[in-house]
Amino acid sequence: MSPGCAGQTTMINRTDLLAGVGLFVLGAAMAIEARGFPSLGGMAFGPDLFPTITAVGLMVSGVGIVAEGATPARRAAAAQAGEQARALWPMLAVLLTIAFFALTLPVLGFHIAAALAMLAAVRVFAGGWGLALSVAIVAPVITHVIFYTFLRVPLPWGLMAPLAW
Amino acid sequence: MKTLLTTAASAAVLALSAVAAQAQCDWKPERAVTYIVPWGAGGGTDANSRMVASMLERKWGVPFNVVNRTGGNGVTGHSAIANAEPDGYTIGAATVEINTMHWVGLTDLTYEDITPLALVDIVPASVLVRKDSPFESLQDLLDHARENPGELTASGTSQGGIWHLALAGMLNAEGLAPDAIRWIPSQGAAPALQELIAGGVDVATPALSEGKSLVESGEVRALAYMHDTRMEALPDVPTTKELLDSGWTLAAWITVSGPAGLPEEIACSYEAALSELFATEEWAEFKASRGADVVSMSREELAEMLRTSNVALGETIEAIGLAK
Amino acid sequence: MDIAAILAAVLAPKLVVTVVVCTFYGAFVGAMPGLTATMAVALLVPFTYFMDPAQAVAAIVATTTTAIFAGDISGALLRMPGTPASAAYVEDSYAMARGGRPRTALFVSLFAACIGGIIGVAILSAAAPQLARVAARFSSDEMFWLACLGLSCAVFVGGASVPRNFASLFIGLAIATVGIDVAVGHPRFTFGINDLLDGISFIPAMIGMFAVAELLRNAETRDPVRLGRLKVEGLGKAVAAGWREVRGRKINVARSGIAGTVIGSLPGAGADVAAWICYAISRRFSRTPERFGKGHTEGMIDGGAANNAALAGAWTPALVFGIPGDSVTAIAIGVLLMKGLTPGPQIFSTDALLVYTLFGSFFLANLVMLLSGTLAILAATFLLRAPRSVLMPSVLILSMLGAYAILGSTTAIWIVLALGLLGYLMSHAEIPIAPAILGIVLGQVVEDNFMVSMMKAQGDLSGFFARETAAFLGVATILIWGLLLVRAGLELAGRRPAASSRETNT
Repeated sequence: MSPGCAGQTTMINRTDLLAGVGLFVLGAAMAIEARGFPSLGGMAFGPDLFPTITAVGLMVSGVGIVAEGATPARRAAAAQAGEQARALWPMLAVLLTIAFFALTLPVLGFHIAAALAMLAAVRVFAGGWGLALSVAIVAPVITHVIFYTFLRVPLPWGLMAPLAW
Repeated sequence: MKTLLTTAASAAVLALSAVAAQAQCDWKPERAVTYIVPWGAGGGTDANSRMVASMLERKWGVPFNVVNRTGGNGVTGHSAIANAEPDGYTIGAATVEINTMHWVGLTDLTYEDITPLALVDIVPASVLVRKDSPFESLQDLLDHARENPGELTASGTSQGGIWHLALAGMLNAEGLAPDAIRWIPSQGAAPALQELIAGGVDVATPALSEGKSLVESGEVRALAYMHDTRMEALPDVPTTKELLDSGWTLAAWITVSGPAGLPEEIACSYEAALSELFATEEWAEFKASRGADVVSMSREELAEMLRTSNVALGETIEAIGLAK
Repeated sequence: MDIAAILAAVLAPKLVVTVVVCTFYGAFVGAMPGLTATMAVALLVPFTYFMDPAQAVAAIVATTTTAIFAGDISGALLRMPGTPASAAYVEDSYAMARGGRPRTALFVSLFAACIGGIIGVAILSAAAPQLARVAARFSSDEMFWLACLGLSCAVFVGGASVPRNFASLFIGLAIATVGIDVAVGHPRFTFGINDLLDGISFIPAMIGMFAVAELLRNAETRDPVRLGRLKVEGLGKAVAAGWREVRGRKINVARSGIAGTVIGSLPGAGADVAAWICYAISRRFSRTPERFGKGHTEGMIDGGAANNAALAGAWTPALVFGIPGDSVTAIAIGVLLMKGLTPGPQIFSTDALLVYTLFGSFFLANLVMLLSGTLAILAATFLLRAPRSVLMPSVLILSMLGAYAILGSTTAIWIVLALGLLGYLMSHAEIPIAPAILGIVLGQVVEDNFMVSMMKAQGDLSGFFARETAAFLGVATILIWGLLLVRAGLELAGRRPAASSRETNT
């Protein structure tokens, strides 16, 4: 989503263009899917009504955002935003950590999955290996006490099941 | 009275058989057990299940964590019970919907996917009207619906939910069109009762226990109780057995169940523990406070009840045209 | 009722201890993201079995009162509202905390919550039967309009241009359409996932769009100020500043305390809806609406007073008719029944002492909350002085477990992931988050009530205006929407500069 080097002279704010088109496509997909919903016997309204209204709303606001992107104020904003540098990989690493945790939680169990996720997360946010290891050991213990012991959330044990208490 | 006696007797028998079988049925959990409730916090299933969970917890000394897995008119929670590891560490409150959901095409799940352990509650439906309603008796209501099909509306739960079956099944059994009183779906008994009081619908058919406080306060009138015997807490409400030629009755029920394939050792341990708990004074008081009777069934009886109830509900659903 | 008897009942040592313990418990649960006030009460139920009725009621009241306030703590410090009721003004309290005044922000919330709660219970004890009579006559027609009116708040809370507010609202509504529909029970946009049948769970959605989106924005920048080590002001200064802010807004507190109570007493509309509506009203009548969402205390005071007031309001239909105003009171009714007490008009005569003890415990809980709240604020701000490389992973694990706690399934974590990414992309496109959250909350309410009304009227749209109250609410809603459309037209025509705020982006 990096707006790149949009200058004062661009015709339109590129972020707005992308967002608007994205919303429009999402709305269109919803509308098409909603046409397949069953109808309510003999009535003009059914389960497709609200998704269709929402879909149209998404498409219209998408158009609105594109139109707004063409105003001088928004074009100027694009020029400023373009100067901010962004690092993409730490963000992706956070997303991957969450996905990893979701995938491994039932298999490895809460303690191991949380420790690995914490190890990765501290590294992503520029902590040293020593810090990462200590957080990876301490965090599962604290969250175990809070969530499992006090708040009685049934966290899965996974591989640790033989040790469960 | 008769039911009470049989209940007490069967409880005693169960307690005895539990003692006799102690040699094998002595499994007990060593860590926390997850107790899945397919319905929301604040409802009857939730209240009963939390009570059962806290009693099991005290008996066995490990946490029984109640998790409300709501959604999909019961599909989500029941699937979670059925799909759990059959190790005794996940049990749940399977309810009557396990026998209706698959007939209306919500899921493939049936009672064969769970191992019933104990019956917790039987919850008969009711017929409720607003206090200023022109209908003084169930017969008035049915006569009006017969002459003006489609004019009246009723609510209580989702489309195809158990209280919908209660109404449509009753109309069908009395020779009316199942939609002679139109069904307005709702997200549960509380919003349906709200609609009833606000004048949005003419009739509500939730569990009588759910409408009990409104009946007692005079806001709504109970025309009938869909059961064989009158409710002890509301003895003035006639039963459909007395009122109707068809003798139509319908009750929901709540069980404690595990996933299918639960080892016999674990299942009989739960059965023994639960029948012991259900014979206590504490449980009797809890049930009395909710205006309900203590119920009890052996696992064999319960399994048999699930089978017959499945067939009966299937026929009702077929008859009222909701089968898929 | 004999005042001395009530005082003796409320100030009985056992009751006071219960209230104190439960305010701490409530503060703890409320501050944990993903653990709502409802959950806190549900976890409390097994313990209430060993209590007498007054004690049980006091425990529930004290727990919810503090849990709703404590939701502001993680909201202000981590942009992760602890309970949905804190979501309306989380941008403000978060911006304020980032601006070096986290404790002031929290004391503003605490004082507003305390006074709002006291206004709520004052109204509750004075007008419970009257309020309930109005609320209990609301059918799906009135609820539909009320929810629509709630949705129009989206445009006032958002703070961006009209197309962007609407884009956000429709994103929220789109998320709300996931799951089984009320009319025929057809699963929509569930992609065959069982956990989505009930829709996208609100708490994971909120955690994703606020907290994880913030994490992602943090990850992409090396700027150490953002969510880095927090600057914390002194306690005395924060208390004084917080009190000054709240004192300077007497009208806001009074208005939102009253409105919050009324909204809370409507069945189905709880503390979260009350907070949203009062925040929107606040913005509407503010002399500085442009400062909302950027660390302005005005909306925080309104929202914070409203949600605690709404808690008391929710007891009204519960006590008078046995119809719960929200899920907390639904559980509370179950507890009362378990104690052999049937809520209803007659409870005011048969168990008057219990009812007044309930009111008394509400007062007491709101006062004790000042103490337990202060301790919770101290503990939380102390923990949050941790460095960024520890704080960020902590937010991450709390987000994931908070979501998991609500759904009991890893689907919740995937929802957090997907909506976190969505929230991140939205903030890049300068689309505000708040209206989307409102859309998720109210989307299903609007649709359910619309469908129910349509089925009752057999497709006749005029049914929405057939009842007097419904007609009034309907006309009001349509007028407001007309005004919004005019405003949108003017903005696009360029006659009014588009207020494209950068949210908390900069």
